[in-house]
Amino acid sequence: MDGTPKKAAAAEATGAVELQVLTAYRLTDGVVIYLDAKGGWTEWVEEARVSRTKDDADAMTVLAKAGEAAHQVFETYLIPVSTDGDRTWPVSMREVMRAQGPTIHPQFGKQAMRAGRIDATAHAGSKRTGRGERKENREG
Amino acid sequence: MYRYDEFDHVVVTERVEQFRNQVTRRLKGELSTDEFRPLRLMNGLYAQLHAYMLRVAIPYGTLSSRQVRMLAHIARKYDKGYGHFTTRQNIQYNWPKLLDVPDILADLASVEMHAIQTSGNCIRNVTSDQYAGVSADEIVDSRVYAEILRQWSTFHPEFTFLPRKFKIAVTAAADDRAAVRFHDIGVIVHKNDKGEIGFEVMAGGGMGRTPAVAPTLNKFVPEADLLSYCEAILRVYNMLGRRDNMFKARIKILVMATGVENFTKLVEDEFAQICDTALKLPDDEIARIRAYFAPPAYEGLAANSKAFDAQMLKDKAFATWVEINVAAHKQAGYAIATASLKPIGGVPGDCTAEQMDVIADLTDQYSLGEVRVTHEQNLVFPYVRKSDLFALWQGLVRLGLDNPNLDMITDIIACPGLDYCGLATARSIPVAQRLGERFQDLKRQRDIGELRLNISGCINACGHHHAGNIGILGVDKQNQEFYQVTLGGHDGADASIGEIVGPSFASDRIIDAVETIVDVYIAQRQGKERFIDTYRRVGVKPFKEKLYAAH
Repeated sequence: MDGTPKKAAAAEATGAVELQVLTAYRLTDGVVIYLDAKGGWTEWVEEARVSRTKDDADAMTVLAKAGEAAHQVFETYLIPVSTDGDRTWPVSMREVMRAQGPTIHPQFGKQAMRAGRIDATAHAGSKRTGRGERKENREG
Repeated sequence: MYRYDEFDHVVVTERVEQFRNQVTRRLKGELSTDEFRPLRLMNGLYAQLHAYMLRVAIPYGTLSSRQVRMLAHIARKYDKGYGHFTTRQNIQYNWPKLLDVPDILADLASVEMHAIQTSGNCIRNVTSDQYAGVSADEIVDSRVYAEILRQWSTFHPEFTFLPRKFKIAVTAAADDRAAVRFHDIGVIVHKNDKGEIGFEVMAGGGMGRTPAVAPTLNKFVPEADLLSYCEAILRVYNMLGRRDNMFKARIKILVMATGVENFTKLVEDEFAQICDTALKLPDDEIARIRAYFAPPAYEGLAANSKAFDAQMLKDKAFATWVEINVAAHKQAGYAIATASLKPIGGVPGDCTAEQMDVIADLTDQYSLGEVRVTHEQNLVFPYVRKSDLFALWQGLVRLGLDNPNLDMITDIIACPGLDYCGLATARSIPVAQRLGERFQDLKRQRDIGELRLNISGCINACGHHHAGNIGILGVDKQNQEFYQVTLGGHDGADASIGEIVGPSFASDRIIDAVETIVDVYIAQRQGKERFIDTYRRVGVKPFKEKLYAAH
């Protein structure tokens, strides 16, 4: 649908691996979370563990599956990020939205909990699609 | 009004406790993600972009003031202080915690509400005409038949795991306000020459990536056979509908692939087998349900109210609101009033807990305790004495829900879009807000006249863009929001699907593009022609020429 497999194959062929973080939802309240460097979960994408190699991404996926098996989290998947200006931030519009909250309600979501991190234009500036390896959510 | 009987009470109460137990088992780890998903979906609980989302059923959009107060309480106690009314006349909450959902469902059950049939591949909450029972142009109250269908469809054992979700709408009015031809089954109530009630039944309509206007299978199904005929359609669909490809699983695909004639034959053959079974509706059962919807105790009022006439002359803003948002009532001295949930710059369909509380009060004071949700995401006060319209309007002014824009360009249907939805490819609501601001001038809106503009944030078309006179579909082009425009959609009795006008527009050009379309319409229209009529007369060409002139 979004060309991810093709892109991943191209990346593998050139040896380039994109930066990724692993995201999920917390089971009890459905809050968007990310795997952190200590093997725990953080609500902030800036604090997420960033994979720089395929092995690293695979290791993170194993931890995520363990989190699912322990019934802490659900719907785990990797998403591409950029680390421009030392800040880890999602690439796709969709993931920027998850990282900050609905643009129409700045008083709700993560953007309301930490001031100064709203990036309403971030999703409009990138040329990359990068929707991650998320299984398509078909709950419409 | 709909009466919740002992049977419903037992079913719903048991259901809450079952779900409470399922949540406990999920949290303990006894149910996996995959095991729990269908269970939560059968209770209206989705996983969306930022959080869980709970969709609560409002059968045919009818709510009592007591229920509205409970919806406000839930918004305040368990959510972030607001709810969102949807195109299926339901309400959804965007931030519930899984831990709280059993308590929310218990609170809902205390006012005879639930979240059954709001998700999953079952027959969904049946929708109907928001003016049912009160409009001057109806044959009977269509909610009688919507309720009969609801009772038949709830937990129907044969139709709990259909190939895909299934939506039914019923109308009994000349003016189709329920978009019945865009449903899996559409039902129009008719009366024949002998004065007998029967149903025009159509099947295979829908939105989504393959929009379709439902063809009529039978022009007059006798009243007693409503359930047998619908059961026959569902049986054919359940047997032959595709389960291998979810994008081709809706009944519209089956009807297209089979051909209307062949599909009708399959249904009629099945119907012949089952029409004389327990599904036949006895007259006394219809009468029993009809009694649920007996007209309220109207006062014997004069057709005209002197107080109302004086207020119309005195207050221009009130008079404008009446002209646009108030419809004729079948009972002398009464009126039907619509509160717009599309204030300038607002989120279509959103309502805060505070607004809901005041709406409940206004409902008690001025609408015999009943309010209705429309598929256009507005609220209707169905039983307002003409002499009370001014006081109701003043109440709505204080709430900011007095925008006189019914059926006009800013009365926009918009899906939640990428701001909330896990499926969306672009945002819908900010486009609706920008259009609301651009076209806020009332004089201009009135000059443009009736124009339905609908916005969806992805191809699934929850914002009904295919049925909008102007339809806007958000798409993701290399991580940028673009908007494709369709023209000529219409969801009335003469329903049609919008045609794509040309290449999509970047987010910063879409508002100007709509303005261009409106300008072309104004230049092309003859007399008092509506947008849709002008479009049908002149076609897409003049719009296309102007929109893409610079390219």
